[in-house]
Amino acid sequence: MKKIVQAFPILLLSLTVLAQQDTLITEKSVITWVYTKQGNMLKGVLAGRSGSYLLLYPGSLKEKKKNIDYQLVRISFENITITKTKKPNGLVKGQLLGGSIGFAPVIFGEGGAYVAIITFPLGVVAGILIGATSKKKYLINGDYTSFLSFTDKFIKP
Amino acid sequence: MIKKIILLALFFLESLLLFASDTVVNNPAVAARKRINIFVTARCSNLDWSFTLRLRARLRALFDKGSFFVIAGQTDSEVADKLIRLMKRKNAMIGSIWFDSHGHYGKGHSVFDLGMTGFSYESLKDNLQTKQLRRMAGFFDAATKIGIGSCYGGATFEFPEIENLAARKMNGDSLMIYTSMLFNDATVYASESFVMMKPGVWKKEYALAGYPVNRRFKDKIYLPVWKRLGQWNRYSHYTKLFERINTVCLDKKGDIRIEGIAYLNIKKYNKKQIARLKKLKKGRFNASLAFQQKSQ
Repeated sequence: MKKIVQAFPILLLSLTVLAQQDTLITEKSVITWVYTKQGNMLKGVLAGRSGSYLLLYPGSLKEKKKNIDYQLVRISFENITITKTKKPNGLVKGQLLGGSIGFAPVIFGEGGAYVAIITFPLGVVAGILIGATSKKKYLINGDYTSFLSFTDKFIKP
Repeated sequence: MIKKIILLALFFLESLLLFASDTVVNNPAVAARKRINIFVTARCSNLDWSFTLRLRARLRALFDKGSFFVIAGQTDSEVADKLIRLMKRKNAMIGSIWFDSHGHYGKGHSVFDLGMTGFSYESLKDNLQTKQLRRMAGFFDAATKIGIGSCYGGATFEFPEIENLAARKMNGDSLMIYTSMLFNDATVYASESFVMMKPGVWKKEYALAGYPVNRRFKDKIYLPVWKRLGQWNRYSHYTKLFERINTVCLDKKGDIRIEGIAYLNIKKYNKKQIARLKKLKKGRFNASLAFQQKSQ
């Protein structure tokens, strides 16, 4: 009887470990930049989460679509300082925002309209450039809850 | 009847000539007579920047018809086919051959590509993977010069430790040794550092030495590469000598030459190197490339 009682916590512990090791995969392919405590940067496609590890596909989106089978990189949450992801639809958003700013001088009458001839295309181009390259930053600093909140945004429940 | 005899005689003569052109390759006396230089470059299916280099090379070859040729291919077999066809047509041996390709630093070892096919010192040991190279080997001998045009192709330093991956040898020396062995003891030239293709490549200038301006190369992981700017190595399996040499260049006929003064011994280049070394930072190199291993 004593043995069973002793074995029970071990069984429970192993079950929780097993639950932790469950691999959760991402819904969408997102390019991710992971900065580690050693100061290195790992760029890849976010593949998911396995327990306390972030899974990163170490290739490009093109390679992933072509099903080139690379071993996933496992990065412990304790080792992560910052993660960055590409903003979804950044190009369109940037284009719209840049375009509208460039179009704004029209409000100031005829003179403004003439100015807008130059500022509108300029705003669109600048908006595209900024929008396409902009990234969203997530601070993790080895914190498990921030790590979970970051991964939960992209992972299937 | 006479017509038939003449036709037969002509056919016999032609076959004799063809036989002669096949055997000339292994004849050193004839081989010493005619040598041509070849520039091998990749032709990707997608539009890439290498097309400008290809264009420059073809233009150069246009002005040196008969001694300098450009071969572009997507795979090693395509390159081998084109090279064999050319050499048989020209009835010659290779004087200098330049394998223009990219070096993949993230892999942690020296490599060179033929088209889209990559070769490392390990793959050169494999008979299956070197099948196409061995097909070409008949046109190489101890007098042939091979230039490995990939960055870090002859790197003898260690790829620095990154994350949980230990430091490891780049094995560029092994790559050079196996290349020389494979190509009938030809002399192999390869760089410890970056190999550039700046304007004036075929003018015996320092166009092959230098550094790229991209941000990702200004990472601390590239420190051993930056320290060795313009350093080249030479190996010949014939002499079995592995030597450190001055910066390599190409002349207008595509022949591999060695500069009189090493790149870093020139004051302005040395100054530039020191300035760049100070600016190296961490976090610019994509470390996940070092983890790129295909699943079993």
